[in-house]
Amino acid sequence: MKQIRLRDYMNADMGWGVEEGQRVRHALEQEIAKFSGAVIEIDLDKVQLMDVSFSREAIVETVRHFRPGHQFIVLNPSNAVVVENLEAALEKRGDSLVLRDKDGRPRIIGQQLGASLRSVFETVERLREVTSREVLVHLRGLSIQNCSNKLKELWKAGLLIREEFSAKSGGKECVYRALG
Amino acid sequence: MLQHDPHALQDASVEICVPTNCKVSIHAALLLVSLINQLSLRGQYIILSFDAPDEAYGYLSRMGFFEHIAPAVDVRPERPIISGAMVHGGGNRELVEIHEVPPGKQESIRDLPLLLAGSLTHSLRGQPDADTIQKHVATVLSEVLDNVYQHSNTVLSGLVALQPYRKASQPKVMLAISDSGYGITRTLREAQPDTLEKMTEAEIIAKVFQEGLSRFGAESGRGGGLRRCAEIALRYGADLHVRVPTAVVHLVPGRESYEENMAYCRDNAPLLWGTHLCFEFQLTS
Repeated sequence: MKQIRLRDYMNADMGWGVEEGQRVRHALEQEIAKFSGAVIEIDLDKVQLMDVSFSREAIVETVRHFRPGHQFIVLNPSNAVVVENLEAALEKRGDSLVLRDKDGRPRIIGQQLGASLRSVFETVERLREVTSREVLVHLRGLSIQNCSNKLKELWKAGLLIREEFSAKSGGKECVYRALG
Repeated sequence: MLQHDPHALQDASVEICVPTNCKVSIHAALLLVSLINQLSLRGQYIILSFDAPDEAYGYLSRMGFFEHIAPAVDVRPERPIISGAMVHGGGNRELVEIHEVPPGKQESIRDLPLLLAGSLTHSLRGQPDADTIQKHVATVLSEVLDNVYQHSNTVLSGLVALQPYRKASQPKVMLAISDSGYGITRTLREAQPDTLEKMTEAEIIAKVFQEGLSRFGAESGRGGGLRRCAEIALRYGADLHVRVPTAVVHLVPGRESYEENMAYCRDNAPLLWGTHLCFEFQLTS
């Protein structure tokens, strides 16, 4: 896991505007490109405010650039307006992110999940590490294929970590882990 | 009131007469500065007349009005010898002076959104959500300021000012910003002629604030800034005043959005280049 303190890349406590956002994005992309692991934490501590334009350029476009290979979690927003503006940027793009507040609770911000995807996501959150078959034990009414598809969709959306391993049967199986 | 002065020595002159003791909102002040500077850039001789250094004259002086109009403007009876803005400079808690938004120098105003929002601290004392209000105001400021840099493409500086009205029967904050660019509706019409051809100015402006239209198109993901400004403005029950080159639009907040059928619009307004916005945030919940 790699942690990035966003404030270290900003010129002031408030990030605003397209150009400043793009400047930060380029710096973040260079830094993230050096990292071969899967999970990037973007720490918002000491960021007093970001507007929608900056949030879009610096965070949303960076995340889009690296998904689904990397997963991102945003941490420690200093106030609710930082989160509101980041959410507005995500919603405009139709994207989602996992946010962990200062009290430690993770939640999805931006584009919200439909009911069936949410059920799968919450099951993984609860169990922390699962295969498709294990999710089915806890969720009725899903086929194994349907469940696999939903887990893959959540991984592509950047909301879960995925690792492949060789199953005893000789085939490939995937393990999904919660981010938050 | 604009009068052509047939007796002026210059070929083309305009006299703007400010009525005695008239009330001038910050929105009107920024519109006037923009008009004067646009005319002056075109080479017209401008006379700005006051009957006397009255209340309007004093108010404009305190906000730095005379510092922002072109030096060649003939102010009568005379320009203030000492600027009221320089005297009070930030010390007037009830009026924040006009700030320049210089073209091509966005870094020079990097701190301006938080600075202006922070000036509301005194006016918001006693409000339990004062910090949130300030951050919402800073967000609106930064989005509209950035739009000036992204889209206005003009040699003339933009302008921004903030005015709290604490003692009014309905306490409010007015935020005004002006640029002298092409105007948001013209820019969008050129970028999306097929989509917007049949729409009125009011419809386009309502759509900008409802959906976040961008000249870069929907796929760009841009346009979310003004949509967010509208969300914030709705939260505070704000009227939006929008002046574009040939139209004046006044949007009244609906329950969840600004709708074109709740807008007052005057088309065929006298030409004034640019996009001029004014938000009236109501401070009572």
